[in-house]
Amino acid sequence: MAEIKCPMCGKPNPDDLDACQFCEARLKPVTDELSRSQPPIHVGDEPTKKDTAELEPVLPKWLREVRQQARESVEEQDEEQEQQEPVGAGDQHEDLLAGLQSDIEEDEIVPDWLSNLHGGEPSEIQDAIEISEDRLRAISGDAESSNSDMGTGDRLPGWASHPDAAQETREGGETLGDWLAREVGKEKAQEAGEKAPEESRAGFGLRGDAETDLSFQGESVDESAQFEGEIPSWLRVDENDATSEGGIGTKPLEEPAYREAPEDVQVGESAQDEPVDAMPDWLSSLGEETDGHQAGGDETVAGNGQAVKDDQGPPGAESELSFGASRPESSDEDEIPAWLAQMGEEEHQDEAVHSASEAGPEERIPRPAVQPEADEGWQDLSEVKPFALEQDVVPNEAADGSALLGEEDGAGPGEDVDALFSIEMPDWLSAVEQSAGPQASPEPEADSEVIRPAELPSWVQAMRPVEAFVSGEGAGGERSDTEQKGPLAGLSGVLPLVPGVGPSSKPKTYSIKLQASEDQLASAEQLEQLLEAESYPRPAIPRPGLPAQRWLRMTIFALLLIVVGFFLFAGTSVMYIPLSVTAGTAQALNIVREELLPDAAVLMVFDYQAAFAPELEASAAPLVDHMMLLKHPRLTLLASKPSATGLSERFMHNTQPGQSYVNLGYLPGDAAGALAFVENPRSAKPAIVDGQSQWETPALQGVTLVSDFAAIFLLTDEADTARIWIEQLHNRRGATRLVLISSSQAGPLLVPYMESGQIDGLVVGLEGGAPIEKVNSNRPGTVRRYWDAYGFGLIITITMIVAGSFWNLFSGWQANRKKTGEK
Amino acid sequence: MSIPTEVLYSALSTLVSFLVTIVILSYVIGDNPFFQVVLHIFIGVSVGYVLVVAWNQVIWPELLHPVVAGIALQDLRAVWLLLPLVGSLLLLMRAVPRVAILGQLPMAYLVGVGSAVIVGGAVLGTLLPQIDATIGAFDLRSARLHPFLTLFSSVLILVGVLGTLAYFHFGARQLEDGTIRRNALVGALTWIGRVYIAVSLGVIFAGLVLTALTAFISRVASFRELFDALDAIGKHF
Repeated sequence: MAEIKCPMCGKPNPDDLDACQFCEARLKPVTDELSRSQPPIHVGDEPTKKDTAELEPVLPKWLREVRQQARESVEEQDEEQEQQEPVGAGDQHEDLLAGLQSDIEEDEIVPDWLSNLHGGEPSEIQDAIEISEDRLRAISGDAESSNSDMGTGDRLPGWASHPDAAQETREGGETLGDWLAREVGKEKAQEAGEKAPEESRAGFGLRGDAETDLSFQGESVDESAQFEGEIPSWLRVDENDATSEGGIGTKPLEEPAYREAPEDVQVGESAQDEPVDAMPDWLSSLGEETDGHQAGGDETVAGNGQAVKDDQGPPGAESELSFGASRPESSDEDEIPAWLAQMGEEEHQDEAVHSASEAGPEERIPRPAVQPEADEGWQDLSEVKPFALEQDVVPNEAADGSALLGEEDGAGPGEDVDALFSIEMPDWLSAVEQSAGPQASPEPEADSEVIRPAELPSWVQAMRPVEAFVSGEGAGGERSDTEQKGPLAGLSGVLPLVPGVGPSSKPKTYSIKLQASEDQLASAEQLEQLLEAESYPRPAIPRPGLPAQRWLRMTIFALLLIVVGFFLFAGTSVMYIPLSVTAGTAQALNIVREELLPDAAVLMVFDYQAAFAPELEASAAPLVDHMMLLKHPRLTLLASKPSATGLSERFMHNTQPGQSYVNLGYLPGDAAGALAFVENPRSAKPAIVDGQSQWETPALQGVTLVSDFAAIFLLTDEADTARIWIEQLHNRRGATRLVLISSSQAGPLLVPYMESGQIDGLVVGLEGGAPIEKVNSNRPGTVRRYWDAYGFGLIITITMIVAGSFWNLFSGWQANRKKTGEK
Repeated sequence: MSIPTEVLYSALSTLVSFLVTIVILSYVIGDNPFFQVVLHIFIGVSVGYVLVVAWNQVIWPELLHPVVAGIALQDLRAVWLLLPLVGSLLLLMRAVPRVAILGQLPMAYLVGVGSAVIVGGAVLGTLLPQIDATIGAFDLRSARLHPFLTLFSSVLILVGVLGTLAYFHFGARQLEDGTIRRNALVGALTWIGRVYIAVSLGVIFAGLVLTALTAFISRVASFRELFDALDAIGKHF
């Protein structure tokens, strides 16, 4: 024997077990049978034989209550019938019903789930069979009564009105007219003149004409006996009851159309196939409730012999018509129960079923409050009629009863039963039944349009296998938007069919997380710290290194003082003056020596402060002295700073004592003043001293423009002021030479102007004036006096800078080593 | 015994200069009242000197005297000098809060004219000539040195200019990973420019040191000048 490993405990179990014998875990999936062993569920499939007793608790409460009430009412009615009805009223029916019963027993068409729903109580089934049996009796009786009462053959359905309908259906073996005709024939042979046919007619609501009745009567008992095997068991079982009731068809005739029609159709059409299993017992029980109420009417009808339904029919029949057709007397057709009047209309059957399915089950269940009692009169029925009309929940097609006939158009009985299920049962249960059927009866194409798959509750859909769900969708045509795979498999309409209707791509997601690099975060954190620090006053903390710095400064000062003082006071000439000169110095010297004409007008612009006077004087003195010695130019002094006015005088006093010159004084306006002076020197700086313009002096004769000066010497300590003069003199000085004598701090920034040719000579600091002084006939000058001190002072400065750098490096290394040691 | 006035004034000025220098150098030890006194005296003397210079060389000879003389001589040219006079008066109104707004007009004039002059001079006198010089450095025909050295120097100048300009170019773009970085070429030039700027700052610092050393030497030399002045005075005794 094969073994199955328990998915929970892993122990082997026989494969025939559903639960593990060790841990009681389920060995087989719940949906295994549905999804594998059986084909997928389709809409319209007939129910499969299932043990659905376990589904009993899951039925809706209202359904269980209705069923319970039906059982109780049926039991009560049975008891009453046993006491009141004469025994042996339907002896002949016993044979017929016995055949039906044997048929049921042989075929065992009743599904397990249907029997299980009964809880194993056959009494309920038998009750239902009683109803059908009474119905048969009513039909046979009605057929006779219709000969005299009804003469309008057009009211009969096709199968009933046609003379050969019974024979045709008998040959087909699936029509209602066969066995009904036989039943009628037997009744007519045995109970000629009785009103049972009228009752059946009234109970069935059959308003057939004489032809119909004749067709029923034309059947012989023997022929009907041949079909005993085709009669369902429930109908056969009911023979006894029918006998006790004293007639056939009392109860079936009283059943409403929604319930009777399928059963009738099955009886005539395909009772041999599956007449009973198409109708669950719970539905029968529902009908039993109705039957219970209607039984009274039937009994009354049977008792008073006025079961014939006509426009002036008895109250009991009228009430039944009101339940069966909802519009019993509105017109000629209304006189006939709607469900029976259109039994022959094939084309409306499916629509009727569908319409009936749309109506709520509670609207079709006869309510006891409106059920006429057996002894109620016509007035009672008149009271019921408005109710039926008011109810009118069944569409005309359903009300006509045509939907309940399906044998002529080949519709299977199961289909009708399903239709009834869709009417009576909740949607979820009817759909399950349809889809769980082992064999789907062929449906006409029109049915697929009308009968739509019931919408299942979500929890039922969740219970169904995916294949079944997909199959159900495919029953009405495979939907192109049904998902075939993935988590949405089996679902349709969840995704757009046409790309672009919905979002074609996954929407872009934006992270709410700040996308910033570590550097940015660090900078932001520093900024936050700065902002926070601004709000908190920090106490002034004395710098611990201040005394050290003070001593350091004093040390540096003392060292420089000693070195510089020593060489200044000693008057040594230890350091030689280099002969190499820079390009700027060389060009400046060349201008003084070669380019300047003797007695040429030379403008000297003083643009420095007093603090830089020693350096600039030392740098410019050799060049000016060399020029004065060689060319004897006419000097004109101009100061671009207020303090430079006295410095210019100081310069001439210290370097060129006794030399004549013109001091134009201070030129205000900075850049604008320089521009004005360059444009018009006389207007910009009138230089009126004692009422006389300095421009009229011999030193400035013939000079009206800047370009009239042979050379311009600019002594500056700032690159910015020098740049102003350079910029303003650019392209305005003509052939005038421009020589800059600057301090050491401004010299590097002026070199580009020298390289670009915007200035013609550049003398920077002592190092620029030293070679000029050397070539100036060895005239003693300031540069030579300062040169040793300058040289050694520079060495000391470099030494201190280097020593300080190494000291910081060592101290830092030592601090890091100390920290490392501590760690 | 008679001391020449020139020698006496020279010796006196040298002595004052020496004392003031000593007091200023005393700041090396720390702030002291002598330093503050000398400092305040220096500021006062400087302002007084500027006022004297401005009055003697600008305000009176170039503004007030022509106006007064023009009015006296009924010279209409003097009317044009009223504009700078009024403007100067309005500038003085800034000292009074109630009428300080009147000084905005001449101030706006000064700012406008000064800015225009500076911008024009910078563009025409510095920017364009410097660009032309940087480009023209590759013209070996005017090379004063060996062509290779001239070319090498020109490349250094060009790289230095571009590097320094790139250093002050702060444009960047955000990469896919969110980091903001400069262009690779700009980054390389920036690094080179940083080197050039560091060298330039070192040169400027060296110039400051040399200037300061020269000033220090001149002040120390004043000691000797004092001794020379005292020696000169002593020769007269």
